Amino acid sequence: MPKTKFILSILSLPLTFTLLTSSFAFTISANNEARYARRGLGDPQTGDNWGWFENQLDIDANEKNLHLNMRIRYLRPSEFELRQTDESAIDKGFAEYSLKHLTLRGGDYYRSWGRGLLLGMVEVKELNFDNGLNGVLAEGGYKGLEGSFFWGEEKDAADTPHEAAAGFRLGYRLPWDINLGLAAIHFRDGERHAAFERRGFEFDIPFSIGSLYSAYVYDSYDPVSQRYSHGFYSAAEFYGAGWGLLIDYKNYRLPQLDQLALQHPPSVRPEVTWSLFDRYPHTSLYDSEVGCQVDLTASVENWNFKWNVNQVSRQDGVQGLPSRRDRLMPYWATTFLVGNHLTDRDRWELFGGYAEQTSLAERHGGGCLYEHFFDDQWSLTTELQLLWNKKIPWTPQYRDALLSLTGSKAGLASLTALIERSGNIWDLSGAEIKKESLRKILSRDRYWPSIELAVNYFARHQLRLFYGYERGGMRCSGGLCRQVNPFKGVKITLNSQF
Amino acid sequence: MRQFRLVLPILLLVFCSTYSMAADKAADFTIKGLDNTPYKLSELLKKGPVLVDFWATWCKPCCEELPALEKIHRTYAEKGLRVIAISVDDTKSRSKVKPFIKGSGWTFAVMLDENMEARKKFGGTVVPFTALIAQNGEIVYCQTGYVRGDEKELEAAVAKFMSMQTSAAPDAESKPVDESPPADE
Repeated sequence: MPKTKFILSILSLPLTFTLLTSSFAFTISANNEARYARRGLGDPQTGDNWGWFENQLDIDANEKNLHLNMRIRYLRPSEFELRQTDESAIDKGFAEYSLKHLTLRGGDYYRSWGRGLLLGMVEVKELNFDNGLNGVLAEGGYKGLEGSFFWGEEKDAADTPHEAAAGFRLGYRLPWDINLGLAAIHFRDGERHAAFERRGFEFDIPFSIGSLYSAYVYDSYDPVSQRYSHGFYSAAEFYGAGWGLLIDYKNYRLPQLDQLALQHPPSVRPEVTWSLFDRYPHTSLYDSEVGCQVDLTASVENWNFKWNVNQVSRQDGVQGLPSRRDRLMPYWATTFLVGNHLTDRDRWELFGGYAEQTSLAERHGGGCLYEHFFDDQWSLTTELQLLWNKKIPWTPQYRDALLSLTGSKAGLASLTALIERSGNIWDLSGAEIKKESLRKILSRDRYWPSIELAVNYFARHQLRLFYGYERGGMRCSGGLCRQVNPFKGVKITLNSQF
Repeated sequence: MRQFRLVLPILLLVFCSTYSMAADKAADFTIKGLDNTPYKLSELLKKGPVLVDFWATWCKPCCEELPALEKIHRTYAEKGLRVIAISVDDTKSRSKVKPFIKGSGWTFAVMLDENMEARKKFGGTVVPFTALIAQNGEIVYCQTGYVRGDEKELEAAVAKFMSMQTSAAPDAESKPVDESPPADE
């Protein structure tokens, strides 16, 4: 199958050239990202030192009604993929034709219905997560009515199908801008699950100082888990002059699968707070979870405020609110941020947070950021973060710290020096294990110093050079988290847009 | 064979690079506003130049750039420039967009690009990304990423472009401005 893809890529080259150059009505844009790394720290699993080179080229060609896309990747191996020896292929692509009230697409697509609860297809390249489908997608709208239909398969790099589904959604805008949506999806029998149906609805009701959104989904009976899966998500948004408040709630008993079947539901907690705090995120258990969140944003003159509190637990039968009982694995956290522009040339931020998981792990800490502008071009930013970790099983309490210093020239470059320190006795990635005895290493803190240069040139090209140690651990992006290996060495990333 | 596989992306890269020198027009796209109303870039451009900024609530540099966008919106809205902040927040943080915008007091128009399809039409998925698009669809200025001070360059580019617009059409300022899409006030 990779051969077929390769032949396709060869055939597509002259075709693309001919097609695009024959008509100047086409607008072409492209993005190329090349990553190279030379790693000097042994892989924790295999112990070997290795590097990677990967290149990804995305090309889009747009004519008035026609949109063509093609993605070509070369991985040897990849930072994020499984360690492949050598691969080059057109791994994504689509052709889309748009009429006034209808859009038709053949190829790869990503769509979300019901904020990801009814249908959620996303690709997060940084985390090697991709649950998009390859098939046919039709979307249309006329006046207040809109409809979508899809059919497709999710395949891996070796063309093995993992998921296959077809579904439709109907949406209608009622008076007073109330939006209603209904959806039904049929999942084919596959390696992850037996065939099942998913149905659901969503509505959005705006009112004078906010809006109310809710989505509900339920699946047909699953003979393997012997249950009906369902999920509910609701968000109440309130806002006024200089303030906004979000109160949202989730109640999930979604399919018990390693990877959710075309779902990417809201996690009901902040995605990003501050880097040390984000190292220890709560792992969502979508098959049994109930939770809520209050998120406040406010600004008064030069002051900015943010405050968030969120709580989740597993369900106990049909439970409406998160519990604090240990057996239901409760988690709660609160974070805040206060920022101010002292003068036109100075800015500071103060932030902090507290998190408690199953009354075992307890973390609290905070930090500050100060930024000074020497003139319109040059600025210096310094940031300090501290995090205390307590009650962690088999681990004496320890402290994490992070200090960074960044000098920037607007529109050109920034240079960041960063050092992270941890007293976690189990985190050995910052130590030179070959040179020291384990006992000596365990008795003191570990450090991860690094330096990074980022250069922008011609407005559309970015070069990043990284040298030093990078602490391994949890890395989160867009609501998904994955464990990354520690790194020591050089990384070069070049991103170009055309 | 393996070498040829390497050459293929490079050939395409060179092709794209050369071609992009000749034509730097913004591809048309349709996105939805916070109220679920669809907007088409080509329709917006009929009413004047557009400054689009792709951002996300989880992206710190993006949020730091938004005050500069607000300043540009307040300065040039009456002169016909539309500032549109396009959120690429996915379904996980989609609910935060409206309270965040209102809470921060921004008044420019906000739209949603959950699948990054509009963003990809400008090449890539990096945010923040800002592009100033003239009424004929030409991208006259763009900026990828953001560090403090970049807003000065952006403001200067917008000021230069708007002064050229004004001198090219002296009566432009006196023309009534169609307010669609609505600013989030």
